[in-house]
Amino acid sequence: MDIFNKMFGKNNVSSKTVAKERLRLVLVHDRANVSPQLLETLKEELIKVISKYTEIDNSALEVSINNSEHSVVLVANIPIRVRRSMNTVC
Amino acid sequence: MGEVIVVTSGKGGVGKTTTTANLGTALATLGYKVVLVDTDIGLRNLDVVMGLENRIVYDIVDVVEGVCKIKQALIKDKRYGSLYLLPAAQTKDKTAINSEQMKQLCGELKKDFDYVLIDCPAGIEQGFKNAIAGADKAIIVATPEVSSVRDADRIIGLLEAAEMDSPKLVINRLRPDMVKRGDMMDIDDMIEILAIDLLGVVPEDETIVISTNRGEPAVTDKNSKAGEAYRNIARRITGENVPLMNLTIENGFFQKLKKLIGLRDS
Amino acid sequence: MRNDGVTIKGTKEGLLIILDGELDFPVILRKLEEKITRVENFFAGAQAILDLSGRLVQPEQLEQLEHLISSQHGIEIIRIINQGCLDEKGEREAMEGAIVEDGLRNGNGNRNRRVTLNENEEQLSTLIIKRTLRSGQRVNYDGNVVILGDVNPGAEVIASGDIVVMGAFRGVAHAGAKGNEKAIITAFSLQPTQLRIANIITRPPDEENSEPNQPEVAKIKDGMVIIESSLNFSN
Ligand SMILES: Nc1ncnc2c1ncn2[C@@H]1O[C@H](COP(=O)(O)OP(=O)(O)OP(=O)(O)O)[C@@H](O)[C@H]1O
Ligand SMILES: [Mg+2]
Repeated sequence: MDIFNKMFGKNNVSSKTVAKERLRLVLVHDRANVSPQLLETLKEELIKVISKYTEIDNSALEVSINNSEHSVVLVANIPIRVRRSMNTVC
Repeated sequence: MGEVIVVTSGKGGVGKTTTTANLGTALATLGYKVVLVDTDIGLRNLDVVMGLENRIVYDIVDVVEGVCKIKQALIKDKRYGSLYLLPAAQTKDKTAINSEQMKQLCGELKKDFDYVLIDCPAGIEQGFKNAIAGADKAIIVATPEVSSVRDADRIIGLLEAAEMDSPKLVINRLRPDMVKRGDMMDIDDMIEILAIDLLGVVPEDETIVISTNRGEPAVTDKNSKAGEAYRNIARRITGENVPLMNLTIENGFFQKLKKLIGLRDS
Repeated sequence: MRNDGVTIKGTKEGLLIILDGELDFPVILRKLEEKITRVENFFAGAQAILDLSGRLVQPEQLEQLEHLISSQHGIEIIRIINQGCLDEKGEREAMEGAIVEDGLRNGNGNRNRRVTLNENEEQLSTLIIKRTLRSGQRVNYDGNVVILGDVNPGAEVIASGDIVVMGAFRGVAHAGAKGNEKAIITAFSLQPTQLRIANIITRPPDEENSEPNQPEVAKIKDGMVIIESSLNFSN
């Protein structure tokens, strides 16, 4: 089948696989009743709180809802800026 | 005491009415006493699919408003003596009846019928609430498309909230050729995502359109693939164990080509 | 029609009761009573405009009229006009325009023969609808209904009088809805889902689906609804 897909210039990923992936994500949100706006707000507040304690990379911060084994989890991926330690020389 | 089964989907146009008409007719051919209830007030269609549109005198709104008795509003099918239709009103809207009235109506109907099949309107508003109000069980119709599956999922959630017995899935308009080339979700994909029991699979089939044109459900056509699928589903509803129909297609262009050049099917 | 002192017509607003201006009041009162009593049930609950045709009436006489029309026969008088001594003439004329002349008053015989109204309907007004009725739309009118357009499947027309469709009729029609068995339903192309006249409900046979190629009229004959070409239709 693969050969044919290639022969006819198809994408490697079949459209049904894309459909499934997209559905999974959408449904996770639907089921958890979490809107994208809500996630965005959550993200901003997280940034505020965490920034109090450590410096984080705002632009790389990701908050998402995922399906794990038996439950829906909120995943926050928060890259922390590693501070280059600069010893002050007096 | 009979059973009230609502046929619902969330998304419109996925085959609720087609499914209701065909399952009802198939159950009647199996010897059961069946009544089809159209709750799509304002957009009724079950009457035309059944070919009974010119016999309507009273409708469901007349019944709940007490304008007539249930028996007066029931239309006897022209082919099967044990099959009846309770039509929706066309010149009113969904708010013409309420859930409590539906519950009562269903309660009355199941005293007299083995199966009460309810054709639910699209959406999740009053019409949907009415349709499920008196139902004991639910059949979810979904096509293998993202929007349909998503809406089906929403409906399943709402049915759970309404404490309805675990709904069963009917996959409609499946195209084996598209599944084969990976451009349509297959049966397993859908069950995996929706996580409910499968009641049956109905292929995309032009005999559905033809039979609808004629006002004769496809199950009455011995040569209709979709009709056969619906007959199988009807038997499963009655508790029989019927294996899934073989929907794989042979003799497509690619298949022939592959055979010719000796490639195995993946 | 010879002037018998009292004329009752249908208008958009309701009935128009015209009393002759010349005859003696007691005579008028008697004639009015006769006329209303004859068709009593038909008028009960209706609204009417009373036209005194220029007569100068005493308050007691007016009371007598009101008593007869409203209290005894249940017709509500919404307005009293007096054509003779009135500068509201324009209004009266405008109203005349809305009046459907019944066949009898036409003087020159049955001019609109195909749509000739029955005697019973002498007083019915006519609603004219200048558009196509679509599925889910419903017209319910106490009088005759004329539709200048089509009536599609799923639309319903209910009239206490006749139903005339200047187009294709594919919906449900109920003429003579209050029991008038003389009511008719006619259309340029009559392909109904269902036809009802008075208390009789009919549908086309299952097998038949030929389109008529001429105007037809449905009416009750010997207790059955029959459809015939309206070209040779007569009452
Ligand atoms: N298996 C099938 N193969 C081909 N056509 C189909 C099939 N099932 C349904 N259809 C067509 O899809 C259309 C919609 O079907 P149907 O009216 O049953 O959907 P519905 O869910 O009741 O719609 P609505 O939400 O508007 O009530 C119809 O034209 C019907 O003929
Ligand atoms: Mg439908």
